[in-house]
Amino acid sequence: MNDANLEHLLRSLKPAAPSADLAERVKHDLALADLFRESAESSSRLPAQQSKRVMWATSAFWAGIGAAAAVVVMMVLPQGIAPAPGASQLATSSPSAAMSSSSIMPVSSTREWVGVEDQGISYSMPDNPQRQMRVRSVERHQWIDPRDGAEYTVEVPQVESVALPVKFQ
Amino acid sequence: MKADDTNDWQRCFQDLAPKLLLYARQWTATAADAEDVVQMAFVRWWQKNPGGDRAHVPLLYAAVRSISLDVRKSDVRRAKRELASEYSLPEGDAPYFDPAVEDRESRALLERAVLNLPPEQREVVTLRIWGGLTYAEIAKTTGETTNTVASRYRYALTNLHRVLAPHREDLGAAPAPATA
Repeated sequence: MNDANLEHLLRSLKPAAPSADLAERVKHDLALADLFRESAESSSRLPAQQSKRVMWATSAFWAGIGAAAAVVVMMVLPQGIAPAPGASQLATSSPSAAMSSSSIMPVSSTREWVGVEDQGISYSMPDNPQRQMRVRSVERHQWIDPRDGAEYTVEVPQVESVALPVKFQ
Repeated sequence: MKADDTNDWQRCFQDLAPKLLLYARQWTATAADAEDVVQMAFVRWWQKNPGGDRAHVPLLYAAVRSISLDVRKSDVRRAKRELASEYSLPEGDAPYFDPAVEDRESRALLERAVLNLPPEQREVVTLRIWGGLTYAEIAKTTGETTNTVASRYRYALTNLHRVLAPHREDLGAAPAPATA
C-alpha cells in the first residue's frame, strides 16, 4: 500500500455530521448578530456622516441655544398675541384691563418649543459665520369666563428663523 | 438576514461543519462541546467573511482551534487531568466518522489508527485529509512553519503504514484514483 492508497482509504472515512440542531443554533446566532449590527449601524449613522466642522458647530449650537431662547422670548413678549378674533384684544390688555372690559380672565400663557431645524452654517459673512435655524413653537393662551366657567384656548403656531454666531477654535 | 444570505451560509455550513467538528473534537471532551466550539467559530467567521470566501477557510479552522483550546483551559479540572497527556482523546462519545460507511471493520481500523496518532500529527492529517487544506494553509492555521507541517504529515503517514500493515488484507488496499 503506497501513500496514495492510504490517503484514498482515509478519505473514504466521512466525518460524522453534526447534530440536527447545530445549524438552527448557528442560524439563530447569525440572525442575532445581524440585528445587533443593524442596530449599531443605525445608531452610529448620523455622527458618522457629520463632518468635523459640523460636529463642532453642533456643540456651538447647543451652547448658543440658551441665548437664542432669550432672543426669541424678547422678540415675542412685546408683540403679544393676535391670532384669534376677539382674543387678541384680551391678550394685549393687562389683566385689569381685561377685567374691566369684560369678565374674561387670563389663566395661563405658555410657549412650547416643537422643534428646531438646523439649516447649517452660513458663510455669507466670512468673518462672522452664522448657524441658521428654524425654530418651531406653539404659544398657548387660556382664559376663563368666571360668569359661566367657559374656557377659551388659543394656540398660535410660529416658525422663526434664528441666526446664531458661530466661533471656531 | 436575506434569503440569499441564508442559503449561502447554509450551503457553506453544510459543507464545512462535519470537517470542523472532527477537527474540534481533537481538543474537546465531548461531541457536544465540539459543536459549541464549531457554532461559535462559524458565527464569528461568517460575520467577518459574509460571502464564505474559501480563501479564508484556514482562518475558520484557526478559530476552531483557538476556541477549543480556550474552552479546554476554562475547565480547570480537565486541564489538570490532561496536563500529562496534552491532547488526550475522550472515549465512549459519539463516533468521529460517519458510521454509515459500508465496511465497518475497515472504518474502525482506520479510525483507531488515526486517533492513536500523536496529537500534532493527527491534527495535520485531519486538516490535510478531511479539511482539504494545503501545507501552507495548515501552517497558517496551526502557527507552525510549512516545513514542520509537511514533516508531521510525512511522519503520520509512516506511522499509519506501520500500524495498518498487518491489516492490509482487511483494508482491501483499494487503488487510489488516478490524479492528473
